[in-house]
Amino acid sequence: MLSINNLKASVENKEILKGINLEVKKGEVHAIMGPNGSGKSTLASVLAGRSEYEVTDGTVNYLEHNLLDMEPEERAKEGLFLAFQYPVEIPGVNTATFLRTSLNEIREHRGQEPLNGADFLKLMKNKMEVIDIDKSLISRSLNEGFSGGEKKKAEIFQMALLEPTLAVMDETDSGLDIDALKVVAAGVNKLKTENNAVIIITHYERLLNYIVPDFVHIIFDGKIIKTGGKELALTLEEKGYDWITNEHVALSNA
Amino acid sequence: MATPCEADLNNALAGGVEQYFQIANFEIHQDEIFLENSDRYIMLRKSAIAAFETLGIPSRMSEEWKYTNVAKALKRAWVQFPLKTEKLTENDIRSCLIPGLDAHILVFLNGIRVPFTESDSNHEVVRDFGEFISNSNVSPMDNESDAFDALNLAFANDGAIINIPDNSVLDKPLYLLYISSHDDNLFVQNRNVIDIGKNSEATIIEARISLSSNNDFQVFSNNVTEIRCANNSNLDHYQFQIKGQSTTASINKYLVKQEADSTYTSTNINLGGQLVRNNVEVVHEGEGCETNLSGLYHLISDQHLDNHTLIDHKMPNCNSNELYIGILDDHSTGVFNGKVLVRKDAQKTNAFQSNKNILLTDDAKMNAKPQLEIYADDVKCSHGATTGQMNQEALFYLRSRGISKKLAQTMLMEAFMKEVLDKIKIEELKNFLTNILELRLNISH
Ligand SMILES: Nc1ncnc2c1ncn2[C@@H]1O[C@H](COP(=O)(O)OP(=O)(O)OP(=O)(O)O)[C@@H](O)[C@H]1O
Ligand SMILES: [Mg+2]
Repeated sequence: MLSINNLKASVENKEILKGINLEVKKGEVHAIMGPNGSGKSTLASVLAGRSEYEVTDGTVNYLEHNLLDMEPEERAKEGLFLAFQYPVEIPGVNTATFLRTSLNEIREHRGQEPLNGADFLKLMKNKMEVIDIDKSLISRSLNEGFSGGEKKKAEIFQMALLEPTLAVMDETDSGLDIDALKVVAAGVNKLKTENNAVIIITHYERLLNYIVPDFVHIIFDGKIIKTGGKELALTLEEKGYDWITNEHVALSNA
Repeated sequence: MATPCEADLNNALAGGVEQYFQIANFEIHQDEIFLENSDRYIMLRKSAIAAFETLGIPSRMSEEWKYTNVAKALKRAWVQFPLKTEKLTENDIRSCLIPGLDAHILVFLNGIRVPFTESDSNHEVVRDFGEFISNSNVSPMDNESDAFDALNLAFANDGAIINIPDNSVLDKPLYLLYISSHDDNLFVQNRNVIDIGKNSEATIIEARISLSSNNDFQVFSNNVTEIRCANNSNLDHYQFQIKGQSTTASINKYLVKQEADSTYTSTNINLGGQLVRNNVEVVHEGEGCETNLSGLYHLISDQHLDNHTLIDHKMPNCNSNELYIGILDDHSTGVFNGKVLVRKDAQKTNAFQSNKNILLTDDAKMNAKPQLEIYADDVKCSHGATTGQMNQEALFYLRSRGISKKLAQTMLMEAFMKEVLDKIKIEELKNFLTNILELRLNISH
């Protein structure tokens, strides 16, 4: 479904991604871990199409498309979804109106009729059963004044509504209390089918107890330096990044 | 009895443009528009002409007109009364009404009051223009220092006198509709007086709408409105201007005197006009006044809008709030000049001012100049002015949810403008203006 080849990207002439390789097949769950500043969010942003990041080398194929040639909205319409690490507050844009606009744009692309108000409300109610989110958030301005955890939950609620083919969750677990974490994880598991895929960016093994990844990748200084199964996350939790990064530095010096 | 006429107006303007003013052989013509002119009226007008002669049309050398080239807009031969005024059809007027709004309606066509069948009988609140000039206390107040005020007093065509007696509430909004429709270069001047009595309340909506389809001709309107809000009164005052993007220039001056415990709220929505200058000058004559001034603008092509405000805090315990926001597209230009003067005695003043602009192109320009002059020590004042691009992070967020760039931009612009639109308390007016705005912002869903 997603095939990243030697992807390099810079911001303000500083190279941040230094040759990422990653294959994601449908039905898979991938976890990406790595120290602060190693390039995880940058990778997510490049996939979503943020223009500040200049791709200097490499290719990204997504569902037979050259992803890097597509506008951000086209990527979303093709089923790519990024749950932001820091969702932006947009005063004056009503959350419900936004959700309906977004959903109908995507439905139109899929050749589906736009949802009218009543059907949309029904769908929202349904999705609220999957992701338990405070109703009053929906009638407020988008993310404005939402608490850290509410913002993260709102992202996952959007994800539940839009039913993406490939979801990238950037530290969705950070800032969630344990109950919210369970809710989010249960939601993600419910949405998971053999036809879609999830990339989970996280610092903590605890989320991976609830959403079990098929692969864990460790990104360091703009490169994936180790890939393993779920047990890799456990090792990280115990030993920290030092043992891998030392190994990596030793290897590259050899 | 005689009053100045068109030839004098053009003489005056021509002289003003040239910066040396000559009305040497000032011929005073008989003019049948003003039949009952009192001596005082003639005298006032003559002295106004003299004042204008001295002042001349302000050039860009003048600090107050630094960014607005009004002299250029005036370089034409103007007619004050079009030879043939097309009679407006009922439909023409209807197209300018606010759907669903029940209001008292006064229509001015090309500066002259015309009957509007439906509600023309019930204007005890409105008196005659000549009577006003003769009897009102129009001090030649500011026109000693303001050329356009002087020019208005000298040559004003017509106007409305609105008198809300003490202890009364105007039952429904008063809609003052100024329509221009002309096959000439037309110079229009209205002079209004709004007097809100003690403990009284009123809502007044003023609309300036150009129905001209002929782009060869311009209309320049120079208007003055004097407003008094008596003790404990409340005036909700809306003004909007639409259409006439390449054919209309206007200068609108509002002189507001507030007495104790009165509230004056002005909301100005500017979408039309090629060159527009709004001057709002508010003086607090008593304690406990509240002044709320808001402005909203969306400018395209080469539109130019200049909002000048002055709030003169002369008395203690008064509040003022100003919020002007706008979006400038293409090579449009804007000016915000907001002066807040807090005098020595005006303790416990709260004065807030904010001006926010989004520039959509590199060619659009905004000049924002907040001025706070504070001479009292126990006050809370703040001001802020921002001019920038649309929030790129927000734009990306919306696009990353499948919303096209164009629609996302529209959503963000609407969100930005909402802050002022939400201040419109009359639902019908709010919907009317929101629809016009949405059309302008190219919404197609
Ligand atoms: N717009 C930008 N301008 C300048 N530097 C940037 C920009 N975006 C990212 N960087 C830099 O790129 C590096 C990688 O940042 P990124 O946000 O991808 O890290 P991360 O792995 O997500 O870290 P964290 O775990 O803290 O979220 C950091 O050094 C960061 O400062
Ligand atoms: Mg990050």
